[in-house]
Amino acid sequence: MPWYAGIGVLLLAAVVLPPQFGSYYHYLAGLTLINVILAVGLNLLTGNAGQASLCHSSFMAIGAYATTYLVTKFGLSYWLALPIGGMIAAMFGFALGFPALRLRGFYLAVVTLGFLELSTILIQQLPDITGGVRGIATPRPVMFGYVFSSDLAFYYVILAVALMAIWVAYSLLHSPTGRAFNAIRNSEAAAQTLAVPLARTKLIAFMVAAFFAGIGGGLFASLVGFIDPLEFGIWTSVRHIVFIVVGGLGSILGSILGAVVLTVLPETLRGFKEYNEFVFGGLLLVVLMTLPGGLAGLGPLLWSRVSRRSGSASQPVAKAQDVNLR
Amino acid sequence: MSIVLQLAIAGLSAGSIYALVALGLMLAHKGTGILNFAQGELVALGAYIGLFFSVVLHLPYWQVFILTLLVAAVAGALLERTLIRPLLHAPPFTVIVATLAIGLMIKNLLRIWWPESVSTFSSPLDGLSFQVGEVNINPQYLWITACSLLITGMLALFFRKSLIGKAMQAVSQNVTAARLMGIRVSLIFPLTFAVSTAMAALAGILMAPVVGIQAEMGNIILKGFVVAMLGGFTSLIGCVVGGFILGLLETFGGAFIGGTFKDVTAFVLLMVILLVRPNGIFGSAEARRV
Repeated sequence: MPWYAGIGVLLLAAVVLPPQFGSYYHYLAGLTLINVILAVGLNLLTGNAGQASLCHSSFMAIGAYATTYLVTKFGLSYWLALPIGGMIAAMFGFALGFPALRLRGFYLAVVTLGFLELSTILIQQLPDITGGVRGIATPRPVMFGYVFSSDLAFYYVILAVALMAIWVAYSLLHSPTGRAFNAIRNSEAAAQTLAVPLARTKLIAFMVAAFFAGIGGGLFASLVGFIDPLEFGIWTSVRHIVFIVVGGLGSILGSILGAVVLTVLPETLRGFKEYNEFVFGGLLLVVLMTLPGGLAGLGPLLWSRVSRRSGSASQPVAKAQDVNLR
Repeated sequence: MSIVLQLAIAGLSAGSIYALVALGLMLAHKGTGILNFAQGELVALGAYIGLFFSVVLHLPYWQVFILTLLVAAVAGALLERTLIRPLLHAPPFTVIVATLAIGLMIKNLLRIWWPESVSTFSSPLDGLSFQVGEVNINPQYLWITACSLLITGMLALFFRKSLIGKAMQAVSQNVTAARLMGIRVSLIFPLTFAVSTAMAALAGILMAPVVGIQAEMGNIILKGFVVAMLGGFTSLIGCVVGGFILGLLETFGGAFIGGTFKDVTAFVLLMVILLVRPNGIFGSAEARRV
């Protein structure tokens, strides 16, 4: 079976199957796809361009609050507010990208951690815009008088956006900019000698990741219907990192796999909710140390073992070791 | 005038806590090359160990104090042997994510072990306060400042005078050369983490009576980073001075400008340092291999 037939079957399943299940599953599927969008965005920045970011949830928050504010206070259509929210998030990504131009590795991570802290504080301190610690309600979108109030209807909206996001990420990675991402991850010096504009490439990576997060945040706000600052803390950021590390750094397939598996699994193992952070942390450690290519790297790895032709297995996936943030 | 003095005392005590967190971060980073993103959770761990000795075993304060530091040091050494050792040659991203994961696991375990949201343990200074002229002084603040200064001074002496301290310095400067001089690097690394974790635990038990014990105490790590960067990630003095600068800025800014200012000070300071003097006030420019 050729690969596109497989994708076709999956797509068909994503469209045809959901109506067979209950509303809770529509909600869960929507959440999963939002996490896919977030993971794909973060993976472009971290897995491909090699820039560590601990503030992906801040960009998500910016998108979520901007969308909500535009819809509720300005009466803007959700379909306009969502991309504008993403663009506002991208602007913040651009602003954060500037210090990042001079920083590497640990220092960059510290700055993004600081930005996360700052955004959480500002959400709490600006209750006029954000509703403060009490949170704020976000309405579902409307189109030609039809309200997407059922989780199934909104699931299809999210599915469309997620497919678009995956397509954009795929095209980007196969464009000169995407190749430049991978080049600066491997070696900034080598990339520069090959005339890769370092500053521009990094800024683009930050903006794209922030845009994806902003869109994900806008969808999230509307799906859940209510947002408060607790949703956008360090734990959410780390969860996004777990998605891409477990799924496979630098691989779109990895982002999708990681987000799907790690959103659905905790829901099915709800009895262990208390131990959620512990399990995620442990999983992260195990994958980092034993499976540098993540789930997406597992297939090629197994295939090379089985076929005993170690050289023939292609390595499309970046290893954790390759994310070289000196 | 009295308000200024009162704020200064509060600011200095907050600053000395930040200095301790920064010191722990810096020691581990200089000694092993690992920047420990779980340091904040080690602060919380120290506070919870103190809580255990104080509330569960009912030991007096000075015993709690010493036992906590010892247990934290052992925990730090164990942490190095089990989880940090495999990261020694890993690239920064792996180290960041792995230590974040370790911190997350510690936080989760603490929350499960002690489900109460905010708790505290008694210290002999509780409820005491004395007046000097018009100034109301909380002895808790003086104790925090004095104790952290004293221990930092002892640490400085330890690095200057003792053989082990000198060995730790040698390893931080050049691992290979130190190994060639007959220093057992595999013993120095756990020792470094033991000292670093003990510093974190000290910060934890000192701040516990003032702010209360909770699993979210680990958020202090950002202030530790800012202070360590202010000090250039190299010197003990830099950490202490940096801590005082941040503590005083926060307290005075919070009092005269507003509460929001207090919360964003650390981030603003971080940005200013990184843009103006990336190597800190006391640091020197670092040569980097391309």
